[in-house]
Amino acid sequence: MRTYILYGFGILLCVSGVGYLAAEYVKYLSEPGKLTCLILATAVFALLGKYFQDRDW
Amino acid sequence: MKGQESESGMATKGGGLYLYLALACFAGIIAIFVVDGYLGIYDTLYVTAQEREQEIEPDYWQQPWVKEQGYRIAAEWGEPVHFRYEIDNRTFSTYLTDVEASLWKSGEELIELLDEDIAVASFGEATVDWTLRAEELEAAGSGVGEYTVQIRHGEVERRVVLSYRYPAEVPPPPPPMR
Repeated sequence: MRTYILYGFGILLCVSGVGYLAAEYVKYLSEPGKLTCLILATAVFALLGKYFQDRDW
Repeated sequence: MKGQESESGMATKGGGLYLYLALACFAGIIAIFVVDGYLGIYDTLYVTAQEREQEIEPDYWQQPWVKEQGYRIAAEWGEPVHFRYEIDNRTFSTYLTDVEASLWKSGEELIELLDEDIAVASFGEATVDWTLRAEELEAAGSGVGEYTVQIRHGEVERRVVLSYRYPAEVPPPPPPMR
């Protein structure tokens, strides 16, 4: 149980760290760049979802 | 059973494809950050005062404290302050603009330092320069103090706060001992 809590804590820190860095760097992107990144990020989540669905997760 | 195996194999192959596509999209996001960061109009200002040249790189202008208060530079009263402004056009078209530089004090324009039309070729650079002399300030009825040098081109506006002070008086060397 303790291991899972630690895993969860680590994942939360990683996600928040990546989110913070992305928010900082996005400031310097142009508007078309931001839009393209948003589309690609959506595609990443959709494709990962499909990948895990195919693996019966 | 055989059918099930083949179905499972196809699912693994398809799943692998989705994973590779997701990785490709992620690589695309990283590529956009790199390319978008490189492309654009960048400006660098070089200011020579007190016998040294200070370089104000494009990144500095993005800092919140520089945006709000301007970049601070100290100079001694009486010395000429030389400015060199470089515009780097990293776009696919020629950048046509009017570069204006002026000196301000208490929200009032004192001197127009530069007004020049320039055309920067695609992936090229252009440089303009000017010198601010204390005599010009004296002629405008100003003396030692703080001034704002404002540089404008297109929608870009840069501010440098120039702080003049009297040169430090160095006492004469003592007479040689006999």
